[in-house]
Amino acid sequence: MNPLLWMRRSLAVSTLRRGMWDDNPIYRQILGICSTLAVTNLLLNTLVMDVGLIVATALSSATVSALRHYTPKSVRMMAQVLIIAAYVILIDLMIKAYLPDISEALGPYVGLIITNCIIMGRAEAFAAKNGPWLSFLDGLGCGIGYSAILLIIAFFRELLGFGSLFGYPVLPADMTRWTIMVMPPGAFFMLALVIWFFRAVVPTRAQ
Amino acid sequence: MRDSAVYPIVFMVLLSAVYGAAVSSVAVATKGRVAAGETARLRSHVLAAFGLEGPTDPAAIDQVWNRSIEERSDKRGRYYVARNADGKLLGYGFPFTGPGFWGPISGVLAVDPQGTRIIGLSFTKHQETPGLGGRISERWFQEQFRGKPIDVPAEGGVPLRFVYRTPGGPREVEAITGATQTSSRLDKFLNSFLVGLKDRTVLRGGGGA
Repeated sequence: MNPLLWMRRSLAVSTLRRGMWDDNPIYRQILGICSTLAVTNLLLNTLVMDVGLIVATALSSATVSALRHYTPKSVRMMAQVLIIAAYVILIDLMIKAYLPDISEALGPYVGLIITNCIIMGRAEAFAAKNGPWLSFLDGLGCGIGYSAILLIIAFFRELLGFGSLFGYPVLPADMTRWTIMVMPPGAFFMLALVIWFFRAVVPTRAQ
Repeated sequence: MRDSAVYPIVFMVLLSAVYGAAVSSVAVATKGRVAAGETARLRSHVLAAFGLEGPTDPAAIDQVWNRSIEERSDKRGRYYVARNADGKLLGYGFPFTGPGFWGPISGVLAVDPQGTRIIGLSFTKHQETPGLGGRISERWFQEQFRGKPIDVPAEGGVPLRFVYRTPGGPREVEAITGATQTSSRLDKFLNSFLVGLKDRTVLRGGGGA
């Protein structure tokens, strides 16, 4: 194989993997915790939020990167916020138009993706220094890493709190529901357990 | 040129123009769809309150709606008049909004033509805690209101009583355990809404439409 192509591919692969695993936004960087607590009591809502965040992060990172040579230093952050906000509002409009019930359930949280520090963090830490394609992959990787953890949390919260998965009942109706799992404290407990699990129990790759 | 003081301003103006245009065109393009979705949602709730539910797709909702519901308004606001297939008056539906635990709770309440009994009720919008106060959206909770009396009992008190046990009397509704705040707020504003219904023009006249 062409060695140059191989290097590019492996760089792409390692960029993706870093966001998803080695530098996972939730359990390594502890970013995006607010939305993690807010939207994870139902798997379906979590999934829509996840897709929104993945698209917003990947597109914002790619755009910030593409404009990085033209963006004046003095207005860098302002430009980033504008780009991020535009993509998030576009996603919010799409959800409102095509998935009205979910839009209703998510309330203001889709709009609040704008303030999710993962997106801004990736724009500043990675996209401002790397090319658009790698930045896109970086955003994608971080978005997927965030999403995977949210889905794990939502899986346990919905299962124990409602006895269902994606709205389909799976536990016997006479089983006592863990109401606390549905409420904000349940999110804190689950988040702590997940962070502990990934940091202490799952072995890290040798540095 | 990039070192000039104007460059950052020009850059931001251009960037804002491009993204502003993109966002506004999508907003305009999806406006009709969003509005249609909201109308369909509201209509399905009104139909559910009258017990005319069934259809879930927008075209079928419109069909049932046009056949059976007529929108009117009086001094106190909009209300709905429902008729069955033979044109016989089923009752009136009144939208309501009251304070819940986290935010306003809105819904539609349908009553019979004499204004003596509830036909049904459906909540259209609320922000109560999912799994607790949010259970007011569940069918079993809303079904309890069907056929309940609206008048104030002779011995005084309120039309409906929210109880935290299996409801017994004709005026009793089972409240949601663990959602005391939601239940007591509902108790308060629903009862005062029911008492206020007799002042609506259409019910004051003794039921004639």
